[in-house]
Amino acid sequence: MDTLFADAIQRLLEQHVTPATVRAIEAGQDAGALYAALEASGFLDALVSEAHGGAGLDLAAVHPLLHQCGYRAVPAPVAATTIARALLRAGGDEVPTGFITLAGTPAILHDGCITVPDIPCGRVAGWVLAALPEGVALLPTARARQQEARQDAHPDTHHDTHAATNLRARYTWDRAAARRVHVAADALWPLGALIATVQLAGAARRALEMTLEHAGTRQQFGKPIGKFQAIQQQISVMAEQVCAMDMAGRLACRGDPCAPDPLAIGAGKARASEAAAEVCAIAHAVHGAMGITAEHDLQLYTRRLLEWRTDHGSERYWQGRLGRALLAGNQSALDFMRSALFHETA
Amino acid sequence: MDALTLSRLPAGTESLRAKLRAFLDTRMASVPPQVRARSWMGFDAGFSRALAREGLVGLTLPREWGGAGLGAFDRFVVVEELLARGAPVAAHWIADRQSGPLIHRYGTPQQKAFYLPRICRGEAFFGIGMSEPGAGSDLASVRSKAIRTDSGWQLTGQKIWTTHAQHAHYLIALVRTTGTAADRQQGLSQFIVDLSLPGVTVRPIVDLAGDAHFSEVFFDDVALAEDALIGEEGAGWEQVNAELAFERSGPERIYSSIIVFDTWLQWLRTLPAPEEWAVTLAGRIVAHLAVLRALSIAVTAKLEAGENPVTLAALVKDLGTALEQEIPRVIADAIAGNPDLIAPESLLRTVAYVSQICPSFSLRGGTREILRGMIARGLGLR
Repeated sequence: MDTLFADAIQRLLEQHVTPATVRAIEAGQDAGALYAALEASGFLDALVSEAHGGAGLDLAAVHPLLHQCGYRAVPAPVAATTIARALLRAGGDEVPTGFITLAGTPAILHDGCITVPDIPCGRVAGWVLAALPEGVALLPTARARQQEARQDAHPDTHHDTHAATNLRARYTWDRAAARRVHVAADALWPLGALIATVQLAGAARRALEMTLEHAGTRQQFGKPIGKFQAIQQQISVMAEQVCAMDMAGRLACRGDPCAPDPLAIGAGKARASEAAAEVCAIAHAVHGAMGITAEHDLQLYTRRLLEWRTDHGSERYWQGRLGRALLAGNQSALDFMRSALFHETA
Repeated sequence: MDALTLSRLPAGTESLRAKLRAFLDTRMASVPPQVRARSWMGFDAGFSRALAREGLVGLTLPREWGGAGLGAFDRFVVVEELLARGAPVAAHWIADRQSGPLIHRYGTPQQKAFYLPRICRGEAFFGIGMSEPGAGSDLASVRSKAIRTDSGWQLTGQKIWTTHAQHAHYLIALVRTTGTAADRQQGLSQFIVDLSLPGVTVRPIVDLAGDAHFSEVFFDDVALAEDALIGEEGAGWEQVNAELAFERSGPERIYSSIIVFDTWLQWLRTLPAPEEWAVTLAGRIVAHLAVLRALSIAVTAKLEAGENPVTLAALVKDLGTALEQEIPRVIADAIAGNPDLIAPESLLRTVAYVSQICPSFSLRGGTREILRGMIARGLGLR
């Protein structure tokens, strides 16, 4: 079952998301074809209960989908859409057509308007699921104010200096555009962190594979650079961090999407985020100057390592939450891990 | 590298954990943290024999030899509980983890019948006889030598860094039986050396923390019986690598500084308002530990399935010892980060001891550089 699902999602995304697709969508091409393929495949309803016509899988079972989204730098909120659909269906809400993304920051209310300053994959999403003071709402990107959207496409946006290849957006809506849905507000933030954690592990795995490939083929001083001990030791450290990120993702990605576990997710996000910058640095160190060109595929994955590291809380945020929970009780570190993070009967 | 899985400890291990906790509650309650921090360097023959009476020494050895006949997951739980409590396990540790399993795999029926029941009763303590003054990471350059005699073997040479050799009954020595050091991995064999034999001299070495946890062992024309040879003559290299695989695959490499962490947490909980950075640091350490624990359980699952996850075990050991060494460093910094707060004496002594001894964490069982070389090999780089 597990490998069947993994193989199927891998084949589908391999076919529909190549590095060329990633570049094209980042450059502004419509992601409709990708959406249509995913919708037809049924994967977007993997987490929706069987009673509501979905596959009824739990988060651990859809881990391969999230991991592939990172591994292929999928330029759309596929993981978020899959999770959002389960939340909407469970609450008795209608699922709209189009990609749904999770707001990366709380919404700001002003002058009868709603602004969400940081929306991962905002440029390709049809809908944004965001927490408002009165509850969670779906916000249609088609009704966002044009001026804001255009301003966000400008290279000087405060989010980064590479907006032409970045899918993040900032949108403002009239309050009337918000459609209230029955989703728990405190579930959104940990679920966003969960997605980022598993995608970090996927992108890191891809960066490691590319680094091994490069070290095995690039020749200097008459032999592949991977034959030099200094390079071997660096790549071993990278592999260790990638392995830790992989396990962090599995620790985070368990259970029912409607009842996410913020501590287990937080432990995973804290660990994966902390490793992301080092993995990125070693990948680039081994690739040399060619790795920082736009032409080389490495940047498709390393840019996302840096982006997902800070999405839905960096390591510092989640370390703080974990530390407060740990110190609030009187358990040993082992017993805290067993009960709060591993769910072993204590 | 293989895909990982997140495995759950089988529910059956819970009763074993409860049994061990009850035992440790009675034995460890009054032991101060600076003593518990010695962890698997702490030698206490009485403790090991009491644990043996509970049936918890020789964990993975079959019942016919007096062992507990337990699987890899059970061993994980026992080791985790002992280390998390800082139990003084050094006396039986090497025999339980590697010498016993090595004898079980390579020994003759007579050798098994002689050594294994003694190990399981906590009566035969073993040391490791690998390193020599000229053979550290380059283990294949050992020079100690055994030559055939009419009645068995004559052993000459020297071993070093053998943990608690001054208290142990035996060590399993890797020595040359043919050729010279230039022959490298060829011509090596393993012998069980009775440390009470004439010609054996054990000289403890005092470490930087004032303990004498390791020793030099000299072999001066030691007459060994025929059956001191374990396994096959000339197969020592293969056997010693199997022994190292036993040594590297357990959860020993993630909990060496856990007593420091728990003792610090207990102090933080007594403060009216611990600083935000201290709270964040506590969260950071527990996030690292949690992922390491999951990785260590993944290694255990592979052992349980009969695999030999050499690369993954090396990887987890390197990650684990890095955290073990980081914990005393960052906690010492955190404690001294606010001079207005006076930390308890026992916490300071615990941090001081582990800070001093922790360089050993990434030396024992293979250095960081050796392990990274093994990982590179597993990745296909060499």
